[in-house]
Order: sequence, then C-alpha cells, then structure tokens
Amino acid sequence: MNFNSLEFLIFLPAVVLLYWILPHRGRWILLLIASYIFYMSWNIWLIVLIMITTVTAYGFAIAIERAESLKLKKLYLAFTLIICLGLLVFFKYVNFILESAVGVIRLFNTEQDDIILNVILPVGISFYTFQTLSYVIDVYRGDFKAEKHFGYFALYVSYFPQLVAGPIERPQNLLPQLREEHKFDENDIRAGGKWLLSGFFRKCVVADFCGIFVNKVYADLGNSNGLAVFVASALFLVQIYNDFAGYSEIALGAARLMGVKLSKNFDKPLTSTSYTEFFRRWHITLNQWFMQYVYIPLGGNRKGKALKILNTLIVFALCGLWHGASWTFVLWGVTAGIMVSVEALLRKPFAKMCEKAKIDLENPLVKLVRQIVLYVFSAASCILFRAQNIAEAGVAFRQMFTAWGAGESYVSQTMSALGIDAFQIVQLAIFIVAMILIYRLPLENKSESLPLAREREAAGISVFVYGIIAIMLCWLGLLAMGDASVFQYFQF
Amino acid sequence: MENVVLTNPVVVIGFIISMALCIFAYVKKAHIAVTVISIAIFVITATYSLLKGADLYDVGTVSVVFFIINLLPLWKNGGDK
Repeated sequence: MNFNSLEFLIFLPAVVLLYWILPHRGRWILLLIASYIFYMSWNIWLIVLIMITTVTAYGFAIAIERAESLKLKKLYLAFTLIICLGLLVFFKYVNFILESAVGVIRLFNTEQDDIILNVILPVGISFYTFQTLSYVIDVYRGDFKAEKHFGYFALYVSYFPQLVAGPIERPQNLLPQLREEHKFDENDIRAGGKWLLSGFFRKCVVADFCGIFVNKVYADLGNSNGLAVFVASALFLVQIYNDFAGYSEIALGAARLMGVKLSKNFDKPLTSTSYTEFFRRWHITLNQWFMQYVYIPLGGNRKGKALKILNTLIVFALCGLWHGASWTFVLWGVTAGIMVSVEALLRKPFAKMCEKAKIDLENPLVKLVRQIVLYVFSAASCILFRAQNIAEAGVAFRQMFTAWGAGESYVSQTMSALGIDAFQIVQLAIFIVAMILIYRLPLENKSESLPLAREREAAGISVFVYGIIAIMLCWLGLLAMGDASVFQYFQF
Repeated sequence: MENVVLTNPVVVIGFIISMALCIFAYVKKAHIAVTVISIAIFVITATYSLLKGADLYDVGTVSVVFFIINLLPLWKNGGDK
C-alpha cells in the first residue's frame, strides 16, 4: 500500500476516525493492527520478519536491563545485533555479496557461473532494523528504560506512518508519545493536514514530473549528450529530494493527525552552501543514527585528524551501503565522505583566504554562488545514486564530460533526449516556484493558541482546495501516462 | 493536438475570472464569500476543460498557479525562514 494510492486515501482517514472514537486503552491495539495490515499489504509473509525483529529486541532489551554483569549485557547486545543485522544483511545484501564474490573468483576462473538466491527485499527493513537497534543500544547504555508492554513496543517497531521509509525515531521521542493519551486538538489536525498537503504535492506534482525526464535520459544514456545527462542528474536531485521529503512529510502529517509528533527529516538541504551542511540537513534521522551509534563509538573526532577522517569515510561508506546493495552506492558514500573530509581540512585556510581577499562568505550573492556550486557537484554525484551499476555510471560520466557541443541543434538534441518541450519547461518552472514557496509555508502554527486571522483563514482554505485539485489531477495524469512511481526510498 | 487550456475561449475566460477574483480577495482582504466564488468558478471551468479533452496535467498546472497565488498571503504573514 503506497502512500500515493487509493487504498491509502481510504485507509488513513478510516484509521484516524477510529482512533479518535476509541478510548485510549484500545488505541494501541487499533494502531498495531493497522500497522501490520499496512505492512502485509506488500507481502503477507513480511509479518514474520518484523515479528522476529520485534520479539528479539523486546526480549533481549529486558534481559540487558536485568543482567547484573557488563559481560552478560554485552552478550545479549551481541545476540540482538547478530539476529537483527543478520536478517538485514541476508535479505538485502546476500546477492550483492555473492555477486562480488563471483566477480573475484572470475579473476582466477572465468568459467564461474553467477550465483543468485531468490530472495525478496522486504520493504522498510533498513528503517525498522535501525530503529529497533537504536532502542536496544539505548537500553544497553542506560539512556532508556526497557519497555515492558509488548504491545507498545511492537507498535514502536511497526508504527505505520514511518515504518517503510522513516523518519528513524529514537525511543525517547516515539515510545512515550505512543503511550500518552492524546486529546483531540484542532491544531494537530490543521498541522497534520498541512504536512500531508505539502508531502503529496512534493511527491505527486514535483518529484514524479521530474522523474519523467530523468527516466528518459537514463534509459538511453549512450545516446544522450553531456548537457542532457547533467540536466537529468540535476533533475534527479530535485526528484529524490521531493520524493523522500514528500514521504517524510506525509509520515509527519499522518502521525500528527493522531497527536504524535515525529522528527523532521529534512531542513531545506538544497539551500546548503557546503557538503557538511548538506548532510546535516538531509535525512537528518539517519545521519544522527550513524553519528550516535557508529561515528562516536569509533572515536569520532576525539583522537586526532587522521582518525577523524577515517571514521568519517567509514560512516559515509556504510551510509552509502545502507542505501542499496550496489558498489555505486558505496562509491557515492565514499565520495561524499571525501568531500566532507576535504571541507573540514580546508575550512580554516579557505576562511583566511576569503578574509584576505575581503570576500564575505555570508554575503547573499556569495552565498548564492556557493549554493549553485554545491548543487552542481551534488547533481554530478547523483549519477552514482541513480545509475543501476558501475558500468552505467561510467557511461553517464563519460557522456557528461565529453559529449558537449553548441548551437541550436545541440539544444534541440538535449531537449529531445530529455523528452521535454517548451511548455513542459514552463510547467517545471511553475512547480519549482511552488516547491520553494512551500519551504516558507508555516506548516506549524507559531502561536497555536491564537486563532488564524480572517485573511489567512480564507487563504488557508484556498491553499487546501487548490492543492488537493493540483495533486489529484497531476497524480491521475501520471497514472494515465504510466509514469506515477512508488516512493524511491521504499527500495532502501 | 491543440492545448484546450490555452485555446478554448470559455476555459480561458473562466480561469481568468477565477484568478481575478482570487487576486481581488487577496489584495482587498475581501469577505470569504469572494474566495468561495472564485474556487467554484475554477472548479466549474476545470471540469468543463477536462470534458473538452484537456490534459489532466495541464489543468493540474493551472491549479498549481492558483495554489501559488493563495500561498502568498500565508508566506507573507509568517512563513518559515
């Protein structure tokens, strides 16, 4: 059941309505059943996997808390990591590992056949595994008390708004909210509605529209010129951002309709002026997870520059691998890690150089230039994220750096490769303007106790009506074209 | 195939009237009834254009333009920085 489906448009209001009708003691049961139905709608057997993770984490967390010796606590933690990560590694990476091993064997024995296991990739396994592990590790560290109520814990693991693509919630934020008795609050409904509107707009109007042109170029990279590949990659960055941010906002909105506040996952990353800032604003909950449970335990930046760089590269490589079982993702991660490390090393010399040259880095024009430069680099590195394999990435980079020309015929070749015409360029510009304005939309009321002014109330009604019309028409239009896609981050 | 949204006179006039009322309501801080009427005219015009064979995405684009116009008061009066 995708968020952008008719089934979800019926499922969500039904669950929200029942939630507010039921007394507090029955709500967790409703949400748990609804979450399992949501998950099983992809494949009924997925329930077995999530139950294994749930029961393992629940049992071992209580055992860790009750264990008296540190050695026993470590043993229980190790068992949890082996089981939960083991499931993740098997279902997500087994064919990647086998393919890589076969590749090495073929260096010595060219007769080696492919070895492929027929394994399904469970939707959302990366997300709920990491969320569960954060709970167990926090219990081990003494940062959180083990949850004794199995129902609430199972709900924490499987909570449907954020089950398949995050945000990855630490137990301190989500568990208490799931236990809390929420009172019906008009502001929650209003905020939830605004997040849903923004999320669906980003996905159905902006992301999927960009996807039409990206898919056309990437389906035939060898015949696309350099500008087409670059523009497609730049559009892919817009697509993936709005796709994922859209999902996160729908998750925030769905949860908020029931009084639960999930963590924000994006903070205007495309306005960043450096790679470091970009990754602070992009997929915030995943980056915080890696910071808390990988980077800091490895030593972070406390043991000298060399180790800091090594830890950074390890974290980014793992982050890349988390995104997908392919060397392109690992390469993307390592590239990002190198850029962040280089920035860290050059920050002070660069600042001194700008001071000597009397360049104010916070000047709006200088900031704009920095944003554009970062966007260009990010778009180029997106090739690694979008390409199916290293060979395809190689073709894309080769075309982007070599297949250049000039003049009217080159421009019309580019537009033909993208499958875009002048009217669609205008449409794209309109959608991007709307997306930028949505950045600035007050999705949360700053003073929730004050009533809206008459003027804003009328505008608010119009925004909802036109927003819903735009979303429905664009979504139906894409369905008719066969181009409405699932959320990209579901594959992770 | 001709673009119904841009060439059908009834559709063009309907969208222009709806947009004019929308902008009027914003500039003059008019009664909510003006906003409701503009929405009604938009919906009727959009329905008519779809029946006349307009592309879903083209009508969707026009509704995004109206969406943007209506975002402006919310954006102006306390948007996120």
